Amino acid sequence: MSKSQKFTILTLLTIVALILNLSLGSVEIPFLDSFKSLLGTPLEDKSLEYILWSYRIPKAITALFVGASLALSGLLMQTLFRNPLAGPFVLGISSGASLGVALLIMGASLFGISHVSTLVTTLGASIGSLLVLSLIGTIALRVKDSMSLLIIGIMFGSITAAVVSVLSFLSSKEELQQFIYWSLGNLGAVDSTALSILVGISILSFTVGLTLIKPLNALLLGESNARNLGVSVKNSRILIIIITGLLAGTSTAIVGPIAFLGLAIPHLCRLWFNTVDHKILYPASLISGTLFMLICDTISQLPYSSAVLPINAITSIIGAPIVIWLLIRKKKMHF
Amino acid sequence: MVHKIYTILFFAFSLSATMAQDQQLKLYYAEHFKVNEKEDGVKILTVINPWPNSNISYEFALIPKDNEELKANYRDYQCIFTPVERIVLSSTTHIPSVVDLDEVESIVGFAGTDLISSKEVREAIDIGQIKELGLNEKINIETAIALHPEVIIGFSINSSNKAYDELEAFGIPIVLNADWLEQSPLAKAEWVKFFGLFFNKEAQAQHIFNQIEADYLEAKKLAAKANKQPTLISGSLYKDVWYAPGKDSWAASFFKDANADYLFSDMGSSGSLSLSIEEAIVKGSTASFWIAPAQFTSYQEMLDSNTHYGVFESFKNKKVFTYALTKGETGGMLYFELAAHRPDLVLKDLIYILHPQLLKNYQPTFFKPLVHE
Amino acid sequence: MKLENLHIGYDNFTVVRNLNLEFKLGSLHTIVGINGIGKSTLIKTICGELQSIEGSVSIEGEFIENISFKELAKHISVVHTSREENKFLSVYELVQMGRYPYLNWIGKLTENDKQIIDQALALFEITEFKNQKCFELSDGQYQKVLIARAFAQDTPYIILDEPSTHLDLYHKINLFKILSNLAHNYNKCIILSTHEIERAIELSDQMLVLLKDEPYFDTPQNLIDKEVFQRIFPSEMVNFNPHSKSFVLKDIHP
Repeated sequence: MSKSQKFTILTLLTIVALILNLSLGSVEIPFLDSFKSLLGTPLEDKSLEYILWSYRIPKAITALFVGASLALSGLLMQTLFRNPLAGPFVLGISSGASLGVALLIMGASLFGISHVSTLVTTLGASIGSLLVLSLIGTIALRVKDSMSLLIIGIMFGSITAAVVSVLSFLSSKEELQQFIYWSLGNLGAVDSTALSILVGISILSFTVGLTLIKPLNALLLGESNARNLGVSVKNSRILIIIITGLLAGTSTAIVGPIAFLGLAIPHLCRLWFNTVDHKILYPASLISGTLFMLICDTISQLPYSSAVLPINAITSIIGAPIVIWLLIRKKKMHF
Repeated sequence: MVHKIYTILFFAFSLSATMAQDQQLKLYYAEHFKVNEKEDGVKILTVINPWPNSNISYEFALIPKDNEELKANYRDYQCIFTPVERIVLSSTTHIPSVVDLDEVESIVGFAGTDLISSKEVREAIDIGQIKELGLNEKINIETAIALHPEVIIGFSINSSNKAYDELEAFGIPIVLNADWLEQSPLAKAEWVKFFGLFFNKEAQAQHIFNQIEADYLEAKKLAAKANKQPTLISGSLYKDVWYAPGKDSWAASFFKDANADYLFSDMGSSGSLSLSIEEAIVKGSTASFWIAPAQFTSYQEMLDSNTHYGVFESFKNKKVFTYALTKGETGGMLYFELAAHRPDLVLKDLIYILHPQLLKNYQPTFFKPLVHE
Repeated sequence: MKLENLHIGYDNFTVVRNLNLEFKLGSLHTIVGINGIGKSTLIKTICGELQSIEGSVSIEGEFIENISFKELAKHISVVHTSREENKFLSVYELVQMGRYPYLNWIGKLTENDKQIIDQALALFEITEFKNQKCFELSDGQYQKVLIARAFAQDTPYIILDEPSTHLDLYHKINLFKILSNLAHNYNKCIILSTHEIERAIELSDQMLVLLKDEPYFDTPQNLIDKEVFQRIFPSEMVNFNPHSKSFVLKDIHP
């Protein structure tokens, strides 16, 4: 199968996944009705119309961009650090976000506010991840090689995770519950401002990131070789970190931390397309990330039942076995 | 003549027989405790299934203080000596019964004093009579022991509570209160009789409950007179899951007794429902009234939390009523404290909202309209 | 490439001093010396990765620190010893990266680029492997791929840091032959560091011998006449025979 054939399959699958995601949910909306509504015909049952337009479509768009963002940032991190275990959160972004949210929830309750609104948690997560990212960014300018940066990022992650544990220990039931709900991830509670920010930043990052394809390929030869080929390793490193920060940070701030996707999708793409060429992996990760997120979201809605599962659990439960299976088939990983 | 003698003998026999037997305290609604009064005056209190899915009962022997030696006959029981003069409580639902029984002076400690609304009890806290013990799950052991309580009324959501185990090992009797597991309004209220036991005030407790029961049933009859059943919903979203009371729950019983059509009542029974946001919209957007949207106090606050609230008719027509606007001095919710003990007031509040023509000149205790903003 | 009064080293530690020489196009130059004498340091300095402590390196009159990395990549290509490359790349993909200094931002290959790549593959006889993944090749074949990449980079100067380390004897000799060919038939200036001193003596045009006290730069024959090679290794253990042009172990057993 040629590469373009594979791309076509991926794209088709994504379109199907999108249609399924919009059509399946706890409440049954007849297929024909959703079609009609998408084409502009108003439906008689106003609540069904509301659900489709104000709930499912925004959720699908969120899934689309979050999936693509996380997959791409995972790819960037894996190539920059030449490490197969790297993911979008290896620079401490999700730990920073968790810390921000935890502090905000606890701080709010000290002021008597028992329930923190989504806007506030988004803000807390953004500030938290931004702080951690800028700390790491400044260190990146002083550290000569990427390996040290990776370790520093992981250390940051540990520190923030520890602080969050202490906060959790000292919190009340309600605060803890709010925090846990946030950390389980949720695609459905995104309002239109947040959604436009997500879409805007994602598209901007995807476009600017295209300039990284050549440097990323050069980095596959090692940093010295990349430099000798005329690629500015320092500038590329900075741009990679900025874009990862934007993509992973925005996603996490808006929908909470989504585990596993950023780590697994680039590997799946490498294995399926049988290449490490970023000219292919870049778009492949974007599309695969979207596809995976749409599938996971559809499943987490547990169609036809009233229960809903947290998205984080689904991404891990589905993703991990797939990667394991593919690796068993391939027998060796070359990194 | 012989006939008469036999009758008299029969009556004498049965009379003495009943007198020789244990007296069981008559409980009409509560299912999680029962009381057996022995001939020697000792009351055996049994608390049944104090947490969800438990299969366990706890028995306590309540022995009068002036007959302490009787405890020798009750070695297999946890003994508590009445009347209790130093009691520790752990939930605000315990407060109203103790207040109505005029036993505020007996309270020496509480877990989470800020949550208490009752003015009388707040005074006792302010003068230092009632000590703060921390949250129920993390009670401060040392403070609790230093108070020398004669009994701690606790509650537990599962079989493990380290703090309680430690306190019991120290010799302080812990009685778990299971009133929160009762599903009917009158069953919860009947727990005033549980508290009456500790203070030897059973008769007063009976009297208090009888009044509440009478008022409740009267309100229920009043509601039945309404010829229209308004539709209502309850609960609210967390992220995209809607939490609401189930059909057979305590909260939903009020809706039924207030003669209203609770639109989520066909979505599963008991405890709490979790609906997907889609179902909540489809099933509930047409409801005329919205009672108890959790902690929200204003329309703007609700919209800020989730834009989807705006699609509900009851929201658009400003027919949302909340208990969250009625708070005590230190922020405790009055509803959480008093509603269990005074279902009559809850029912009347609902009737006032749902069938205003039936109750004129009524001041609601718990439910206020959401603030327009 | 001119080295003038060059002192090289790290931070304030000078490893080699007083380098004054010129590497010429069309010649094969080798750098030899014991481990740790500074061969790698010198390589890093002349390809612009490491700053000199004193003195200068210039190409065609321009100091290399004044040339941007991008421009420099069109003049110097480097083949390192350390195998940091991702072996999942195909031969073609790796060789094509040699064209990167000339490609646009997305890395599009023009017809000219493709021709140069094909030429590189043919020259090193690896055309038949072009679609295979690098991990499938033997060490010798892989080494050829790396040099092919440097060739595709089409630079006048090709610098190699101990390129024969992983190779067996046949491939070692073959490598030197290829490099000699590149120097003499393609007018490249080849600079490589190596431990294969005897091979280097046979095939180099000029050699730079790094000794503890000073560096020596001259043709192999002149260096033999000046008895420079004797001084590379401790004389108690090894002797250099100027007639056979090889090193001989001294009697170990007394």
